[in-house]
Amino acid sequence: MTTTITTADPLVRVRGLYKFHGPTADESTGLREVSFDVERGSFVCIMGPSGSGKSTLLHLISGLDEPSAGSVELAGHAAAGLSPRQRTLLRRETVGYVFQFFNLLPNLTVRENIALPLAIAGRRAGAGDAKIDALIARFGLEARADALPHQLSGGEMQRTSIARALAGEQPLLLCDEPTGNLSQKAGAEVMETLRQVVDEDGRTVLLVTHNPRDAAFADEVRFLVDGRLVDEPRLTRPGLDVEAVHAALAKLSI
Amino acid sequence: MGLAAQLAGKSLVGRPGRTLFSILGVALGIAIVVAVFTLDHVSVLSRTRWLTDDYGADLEVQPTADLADPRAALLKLEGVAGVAAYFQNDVGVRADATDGRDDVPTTVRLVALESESAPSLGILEVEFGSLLAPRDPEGVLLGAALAEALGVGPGDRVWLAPPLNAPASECFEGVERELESGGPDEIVTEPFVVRGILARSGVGRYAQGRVAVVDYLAGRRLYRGRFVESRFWVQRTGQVDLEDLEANLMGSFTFERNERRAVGQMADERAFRNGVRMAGLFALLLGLFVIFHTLSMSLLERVREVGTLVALGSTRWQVARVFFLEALVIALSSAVLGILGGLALSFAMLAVGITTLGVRGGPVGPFEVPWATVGWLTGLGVLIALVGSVYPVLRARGANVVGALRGDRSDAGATKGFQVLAIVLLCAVLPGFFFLLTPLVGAADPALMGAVLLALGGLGLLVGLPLAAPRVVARIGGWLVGPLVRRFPLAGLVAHRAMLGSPARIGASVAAIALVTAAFTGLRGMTSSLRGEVEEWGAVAIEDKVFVQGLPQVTLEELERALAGVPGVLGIERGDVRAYVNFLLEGIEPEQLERYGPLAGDAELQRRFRDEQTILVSSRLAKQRGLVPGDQLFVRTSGHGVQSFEVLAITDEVGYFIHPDERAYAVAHPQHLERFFCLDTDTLTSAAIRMGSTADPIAAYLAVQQAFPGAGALKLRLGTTILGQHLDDIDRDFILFDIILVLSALLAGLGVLNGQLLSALEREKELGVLRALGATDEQLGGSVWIESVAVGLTGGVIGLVVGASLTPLLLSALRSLSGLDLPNRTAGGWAPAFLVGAVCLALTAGVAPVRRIRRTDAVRAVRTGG
Repeated sequence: MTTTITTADPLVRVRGLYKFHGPTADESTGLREVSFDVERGSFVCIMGPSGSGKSTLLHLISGLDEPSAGSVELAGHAAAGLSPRQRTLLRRETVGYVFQFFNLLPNLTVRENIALPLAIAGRRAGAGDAKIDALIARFGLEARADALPHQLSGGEMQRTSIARALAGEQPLLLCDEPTGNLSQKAGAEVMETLRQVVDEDGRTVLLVTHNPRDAAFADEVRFLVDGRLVDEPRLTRPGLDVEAVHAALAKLSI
Repeated sequence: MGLAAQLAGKSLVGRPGRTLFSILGVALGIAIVVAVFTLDHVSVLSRTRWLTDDYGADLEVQPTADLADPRAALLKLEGVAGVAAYFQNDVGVRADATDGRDDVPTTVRLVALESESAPSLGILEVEFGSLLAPRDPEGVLLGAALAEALGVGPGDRVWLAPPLNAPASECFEGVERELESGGPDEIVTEPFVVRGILARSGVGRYAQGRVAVVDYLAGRRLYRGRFVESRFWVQRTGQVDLEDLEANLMGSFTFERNERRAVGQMADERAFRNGVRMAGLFALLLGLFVIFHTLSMSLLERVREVGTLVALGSTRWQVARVFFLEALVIALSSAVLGILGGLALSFAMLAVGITTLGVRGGPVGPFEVPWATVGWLTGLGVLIALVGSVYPVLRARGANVVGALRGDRSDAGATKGFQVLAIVLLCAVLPGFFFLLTPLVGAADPALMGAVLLALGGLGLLVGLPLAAPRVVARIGGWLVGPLVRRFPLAGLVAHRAMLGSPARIGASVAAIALVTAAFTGLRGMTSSLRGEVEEWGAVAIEDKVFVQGLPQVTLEELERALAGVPGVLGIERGDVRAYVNFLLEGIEPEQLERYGPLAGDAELQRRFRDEQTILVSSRLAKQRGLVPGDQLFVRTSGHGVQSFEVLAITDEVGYFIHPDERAYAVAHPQHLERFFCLDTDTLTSAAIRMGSTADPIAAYLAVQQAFPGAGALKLRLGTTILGQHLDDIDRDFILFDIILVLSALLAGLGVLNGQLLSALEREKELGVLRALGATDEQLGGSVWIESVAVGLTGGVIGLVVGASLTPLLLSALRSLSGLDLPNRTAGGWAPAFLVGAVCLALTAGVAPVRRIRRTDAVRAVRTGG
């Protein structure tokens, strides 16, 4: 499948999204009538407490899961009606994923993990080596390039994970609590990296987190409460910093 | 329900695929071994039930020369367990004194036997009373039927009286004549005391129990002045095979086999039956291999569960019991299923005539289960499966809780431990107990032991090497699928790393495939060699012949005239002048043998064959008896005592006839058979027409048909057709091995399937992440296909190499065991087919894991850590 990305449209368009965990809409509903856009080249953060549906939202956007109602458009393509295979191909071309638990393949080296998107895209071994080398250098992983994941620190693992998400050159990075398993220092490094990805590479980042420090790196912060994306507060730059995020959370009693 | 039972139950039910395939694996192994032994039991039973075991000894022998002490000479021979001189004759028996009476006594069979030697033979067994004391002058043992008819028991007195006239006749100088008794003219009666009543076995079965047994000397006294022919019963020890004992007897004795006791004991039969037993062991080994593999991987898969349980306060013994219970349930379920399956399998094979003594035309019976053997072997399988579970138990007991909770699956120590245990159990303990419970057929001579050790060595190599050096095997696999890795980057990369990351699993899968491939390669090499042997023999003995049966009592001259116009006829061999001495003895006119065979062009040999008591011996008979030209072959006759024939030549070119299909025979001048056995040599009803290599056998065929148009039963068969049937028989007889090996291949497939399925479960998260990153079903499934190709190719190549390397050694052992001149052959053209088969087997085993991978939940995978 070939995805034509038109720059005029938002990269992500979510409308009236519902996700029921049971057969009907009740208190177990994961997401309720969520609608929002993510513009190209932006860094959007969605905050919420545990169980608010943040990860579910990313799964629906990436096409890993199907919504109970509502629609998701990714780079101008509606996900609804696509077969699982078509959704996989759309995800492959559009989305890079950064996970809380890194999800590096344990049997692959750092270099091989970073190159994984190329292999998934069917590129032969050897192709893209320069790009992979550049990513390794950019994330300071030269000395660890041939190490296996269990030999890395948490920060190194997450840097590898981000490099992997960039290797496929997908326009959108979905980041699910990327610092959740890291020390404060390592977490800050990761967030700076993500900021660079937006500022220097022109990628779009959609981050979900419950960490105010991480949220402060974004261009816009929205809040997800009990499965609903609230209209207010809605933080944007300028005026978006850690204190502002804390104040918003306090206002929402989160 | 205790914690262990609850968790074991959940594990078994929660992983139905793993449970089912584990049970199937062990059950199939047990089923094959149960089927093999049931089949063998019924095969022998079906052949022996029609044969009477009149005397319990293996051989009945008679000295050929005036040996000073034939008993001592016999006892000196290797493998002789016991010797008893005996004679037998008719005898009249009364339960009261005969003086003054003229009624006819009950006539039964009298066996006069050296009573001091009887116990060593084990052929006398009494149901009531006692055996005869050594040299008991007046004791008698009665058969059950005779005692019942006379109404006597131990302690009673009976009167024995030899008949006035000997009933026997003999052939003397070509004429049948009645034997003169040479004894007294009136009945001599002697009183005997009944010492015991014989059980219905051994001599007790003789003449349906209408038998009386007295001491040898008492018998001689009773038959004083009369002609009696004394012989010896010889019982062999387990240290010598029948043919070897016969060969040892050749020099000074003639002998006859107890056919009932010889069933399944001949060299070729022993080789076949032992081969089938080894195949059974092989299948059982593979079955247990599957469960070991499953249990081991099951532990690795559930290492975190173990850690959590221990952290929550479960004792390590509670955790260990979970695995033991799982193994117990799997092993017992497999045992029940295996026994039922094995019995059904053997019943089905017997129904279509497949036995361990060759393939018959129709159903073979009666179906009788050797429950003791079945029970022992199944128990052995269950026991070893449980001992195998000790490994996970020990691992569980010694689990590193912190590591387990962290999800640490780096368990090199555990894997190594399993490999060592698996090698010891499968390659040493299992075969050891197997042969202890079911000894091999025949004497444990160096050839047989060599063959067994060779087979075990092959098994050990194939099981041990991939387990001991799994990384090497995994690397070979990776190298073999290199091109595929380049063609399919993601699937190739995942497969390659999965293989290198689980070398024990790959090693086990490769070993299973290699075992089956090597077995097929060896078997095909063996059948190819057997075919080669028959082809070589057939080219000499059969190919240029036309076999004629159903001729209307024609003379040899008439048949010669019928064939006079056919170019290329070299000679005519009679098909019906034959006597069964302790081998098949045939008569062929020397004039017919002047143009082919060893006598052709050799006037001196022709003269000696015509004028002297000489004989031509087939290569198989020569091999069996260790004969070379110049040796003497003794033949017992009824009217001329033991006659000696000098072996003139060893040849298969003359003498073979299609009925009976016997390759161990000898050919003499017909005049000897007429003189010693009173055979008709004037006419013939069957013959083999020997043609020159360039002659047209069809012409001979038609000439005979035209010459005897009225012969309704005339049957003509070409040698090439007969040879083709012989070759087909080999393939037919070996179908049993094919069946066992195909089932073993299924077992190997189950092993590979289990490994891949468990690997898929173990790597569920990894595969889910890949799916989240955009990998398609085809790419993820492709990794399994590539791994299957690698396992199949590696196993196939290793199996072919090992199988081809072992084939010459296997053939060498088979030569010693069967006494056949087997040419060196290999599986040859079958090798590529076996390699493709190995890959297809591994690919088929990949179907279930691929289906399982398609169900991998990406959301679940990316949600969780560890």
